[in-house]
Amino acid sequence: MLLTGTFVAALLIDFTLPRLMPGNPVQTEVTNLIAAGFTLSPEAIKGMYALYGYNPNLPIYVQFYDYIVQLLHGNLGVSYIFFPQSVSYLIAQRLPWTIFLVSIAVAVSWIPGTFIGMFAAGKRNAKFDSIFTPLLNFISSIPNFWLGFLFLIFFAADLKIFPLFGAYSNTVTPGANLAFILSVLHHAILPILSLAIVAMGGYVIHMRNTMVGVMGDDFVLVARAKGLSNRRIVRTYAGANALLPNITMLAISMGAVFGGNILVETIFTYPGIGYLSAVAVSGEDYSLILGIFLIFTIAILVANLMADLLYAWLDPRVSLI
Amino acid sequence: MVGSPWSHEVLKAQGVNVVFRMRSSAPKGDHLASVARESFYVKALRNVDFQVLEGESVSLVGGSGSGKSTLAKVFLGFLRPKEGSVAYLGNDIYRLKGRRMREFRINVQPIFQDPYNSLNPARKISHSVQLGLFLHEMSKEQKEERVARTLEMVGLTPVDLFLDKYPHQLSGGQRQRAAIARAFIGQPKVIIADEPVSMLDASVRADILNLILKMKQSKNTTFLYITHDLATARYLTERMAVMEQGEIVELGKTEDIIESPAHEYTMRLMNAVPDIWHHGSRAPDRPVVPPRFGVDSDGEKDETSGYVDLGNGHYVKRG
Ligand SMILES: Nc1ncnc2c1ncn2[C@@H]1O[C@H](COP(=O)(O)OP(=O)(O)OP(=O)(O)O)[C@@H](O)[C@H]1O
Ligand SMILES: [Mg+2]
Repeated sequence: MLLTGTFVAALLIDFTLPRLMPGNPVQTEVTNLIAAGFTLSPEAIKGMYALYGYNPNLPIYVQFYDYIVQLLHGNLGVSYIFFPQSVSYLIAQRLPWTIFLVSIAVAVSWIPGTFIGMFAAGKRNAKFDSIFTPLLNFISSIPNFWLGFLFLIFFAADLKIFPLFGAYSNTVTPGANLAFILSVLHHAILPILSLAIVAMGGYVIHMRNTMVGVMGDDFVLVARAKGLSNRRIVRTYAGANALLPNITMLAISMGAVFGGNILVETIFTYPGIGYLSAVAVSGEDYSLILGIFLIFTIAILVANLMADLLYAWLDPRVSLI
Repeated sequence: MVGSPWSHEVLKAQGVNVVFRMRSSAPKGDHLASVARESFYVKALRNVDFQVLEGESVSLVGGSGSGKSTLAKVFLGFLRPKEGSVAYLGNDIYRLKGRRMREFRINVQPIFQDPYNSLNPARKISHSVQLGLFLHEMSKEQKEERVARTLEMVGLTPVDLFLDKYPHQLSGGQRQRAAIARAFIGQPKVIIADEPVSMLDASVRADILNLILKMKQSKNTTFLYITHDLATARYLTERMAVMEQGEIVELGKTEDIIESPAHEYTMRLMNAVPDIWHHGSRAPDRPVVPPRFGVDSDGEKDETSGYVDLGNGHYVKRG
């Protein structure tokens, strides 16, 4: 329910934003294109209005209807920077790279982060806490692009053990061959680490705090009175309870990961939609910006949906109906 | 004190002190801000001597923050006191190992106040109750059988209906029944119940108390009942200790204390329950023989203990 609501809201924003912008975005782009040396016939300009699903002379509900129809056909308009390529084509080309980066970064940060947080809660003592907690807070507040920048300077520029840019080296042929796969991994390690290390700090802190809370619940005391060892309680008994809030945390953090990913991809000139969106913003490519915005929204919604499903599956108190 | 041979003391606390460090959190801009971040200490238990005797029902009464729950945690092995010793059947609880530890865990079981917090929300009732047999050597079938039988005893019937329920699907009273089943299922020697009915609706309190009474009588379980409510303490227990600010200020037979409270704090507690207070009178002045609880019953003089022996096991802290 909430999900559909959020999605409709995202659609509405995507629909309204160009109409709120000063002037007429189609006109702006037409001007841009002409300035860039393209010659546009009146038909072409008409076509552009159609591609945007944008006709200021029609009543607003017809415009919205047209917009939805265009969307359903996967039509997000045409890019100005990459003219005449369509926004959906550009996104389809770049999205797999971003999904690759983000999903691995989230997996390698959330899974170990959760376990570290879990055990950190089990081993609570003042000394450990006085070092561990500030350290984690520090790590989780490092901007990931800045970390990426340091990695780039140190490991790529100085030590030259990692490539400076791109998703794979131009000496390999894309396809299911080992050389390509290794090259892709080689190029992805630094961006993934920049995203993962920072995110992991947050996951550890969150899991630890939740776990400390759960460990203070009476049912944990009872379990101890029943003779369950602390280790067993942490691992199998209370761990599952603390996991639930951390799944929600994971979904919430997706927004931050995607946001941070824009800058990280930009720094590593990585051909994902993060980098694409930076290019789109600096080039004032409205249709591309809006298309990417929609994709980000969908990605975050999907993450939330998956978290909800997982939550419902794990927590008996939640049912989806 | 009524001559109680060492072996009859199931639980025994001697000279127990528990101090909590609290970090003050005065809001910023407050005039207290200058002391913010400084820590101060709360003496939750001060030099507590107390024992639970085999087979008896004893209550620990006192106002909020008097240290009752803290003493319960000390007895359950959850909170090692800074000073003093705590023993289960003569062995220091905080040094138990192996077989002895196992025996302690099987035989000393808690029932907590909040049935919403004391059952794992992620586990079915059958799982939570069966946890009470965690250290018991039994086959899975035997355990399941025992769970069913115990659920029936605590009135969660039809059993099949409740086995697969989660805590959130039960009422507060039903949850507390499940918690009681879990506490009694392993047939422990001692049950420590920390305000087991204070969070329940008044309409089910009597039922739950009667259930506890029935369960403990059928197994002759030793029972430590923690409450701020003198009326239920009188109903359930024959001996009583009154706590004020971490100290036991009065100790004796429940009837004696309620009939003739000797400590000013006990009287104040009773004022909150007018119907049992009425026939009480001020304690007569008796010869002063300062005792130490549980130590030598021959009335040996110990000027340091600070208690007055009123006879019949009735002691009151000197004012
Ligand atoms: N974990 C803790 N950290 C700090 N202070 C604590 C802690 N537990 C208890 N205290 C303090 O110790 C004192 C005794 O608390 P305790 O819970 O034993 O009281 P109680 O008699 O059980 O009260 P109530 O009737 O409200 O349950 C209180 O002042 C309380 O604030
Ligand atoms: Mg308490």
